[in-house]
Amino acid sequence: MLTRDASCTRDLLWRLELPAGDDATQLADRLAASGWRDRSLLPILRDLEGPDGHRVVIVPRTGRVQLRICYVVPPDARAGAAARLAAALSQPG
Amino acid sequence: MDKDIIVEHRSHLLGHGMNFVANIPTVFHCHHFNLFWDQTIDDALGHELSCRIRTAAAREVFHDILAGLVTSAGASTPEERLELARTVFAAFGQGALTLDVSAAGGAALGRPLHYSHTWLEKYGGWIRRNTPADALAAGFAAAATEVAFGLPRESVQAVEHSCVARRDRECTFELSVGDATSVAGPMGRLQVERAMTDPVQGLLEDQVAPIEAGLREFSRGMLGDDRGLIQAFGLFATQTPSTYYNRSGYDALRHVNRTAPQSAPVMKALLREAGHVCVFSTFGGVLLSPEWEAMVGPIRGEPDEILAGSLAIARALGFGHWCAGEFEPGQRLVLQTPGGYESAYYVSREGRATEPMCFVLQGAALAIMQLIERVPWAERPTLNQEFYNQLFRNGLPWQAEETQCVSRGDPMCEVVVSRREPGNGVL
Repeated sequence: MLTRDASCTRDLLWRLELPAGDDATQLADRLAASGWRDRSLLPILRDLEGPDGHRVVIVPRTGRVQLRICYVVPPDARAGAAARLAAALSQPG
Repeated sequence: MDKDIIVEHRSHLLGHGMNFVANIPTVFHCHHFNLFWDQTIDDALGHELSCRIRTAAAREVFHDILAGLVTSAGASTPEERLELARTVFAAFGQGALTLDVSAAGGAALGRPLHYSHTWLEKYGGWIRRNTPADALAAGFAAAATEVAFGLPRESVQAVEHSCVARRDRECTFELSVGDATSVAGPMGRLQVERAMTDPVQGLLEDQVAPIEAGLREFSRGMLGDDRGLIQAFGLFATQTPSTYYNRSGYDALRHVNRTAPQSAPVMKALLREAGHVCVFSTFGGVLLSPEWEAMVGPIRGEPDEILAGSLAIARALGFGHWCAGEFEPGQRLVLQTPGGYESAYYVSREGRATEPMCFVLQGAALAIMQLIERVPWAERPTLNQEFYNQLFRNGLPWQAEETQCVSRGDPMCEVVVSRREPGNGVL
């Protein structure tokens, strides 16, 4: 499920609830393996940047997943970009 | 040139919550605070004078940072120095700046720039802006030109002619070389250390200290992305030399005191409100962020948790070593610090004050009480303008008074937040 996250302004930040049983850490590993750039500053917070500049920020200890839509995307196109990204992330690895 | 040069030159004055780059005091602030601060100076002075003062403040302090960095990086040619300047600007989260300059001046181009980009993000949907928004970038471009070509500090003028915030395609600046203007004295680590008083201890230290250490470790690596902006904690953040805020704020207040003293109380109230904006947006954003959840855990909203978190955030981001001297939930908070970025500047540059002068600290203390008492953290609130207005522009239940101030010669800065007494107009 995809919802605007706390502190979201103009559709930049989205919270993605993974389906029950999905592992957020595995998602991070999968993105890294498929070429997403690892921007993590600390191992307790995975921060991966995709080819379109969107970022997926993952808290392994709680399973929280935040999508950060690239800020050069016009505001009225961000919700669509978030939905497409969420759908792509939900595809089986 | 690698942005890691900034990480190498970041340092911290332990026990005083002060951050430095190349021994110049810096502080992390978010775009909500940055835009509010500049707007406050604009409102007080009008855009033209405000822009001149803010540009001069940025030019002075970035000259000092760049001069320090080119020496330690061994950047000897103008090309190397301009490349280093571009890297530093982006690493601080200020944006992407291209400099086409010589010893006689030239031009600069920015896109994106922190101020104009975030102004459009925050206000672009409902306000049309007619004035340029990037005085800090203008000052930086002037400083970079001075340092690249060995020109005197404060000798290059910069004017922004087009600006993305005005719906122009890009931000452009014209740089010209003139005579050195009023050369301000140094404002570096030495001056900060001299201005600080003995460290203080407060409540909840066993909670505050480890969070502070974790946040400091995290923020030490925080740098602008490939486009030169820092998107962290759900915000656009910058690392900015605190002299930018201090010189622009205190110069503007001095001007108002001289030319329209009846307006000075309004300006002070707006500077305090900048503290509200800072705590609501930056501290609140941090507390709700994935970064916080990873380092500390999901926010529960208990009073001690919000207070300890707020103190740790202030220390790690470079505001000062904020401590809770007293805390009675729902009644009273006493915030103490052995000086902060405001008093360090004031003591060094302005001399002895006759009244408390830490306006951001005053507003921030009151706002921390608001975060503790009136934000439903468990509901993961959206910290937008509507919620801000509801909390801060709809009758405040608290009053805040800075009862001690290092700028006035007191042994610490202390702000007492208590329940507002009916009919009391204090803050």
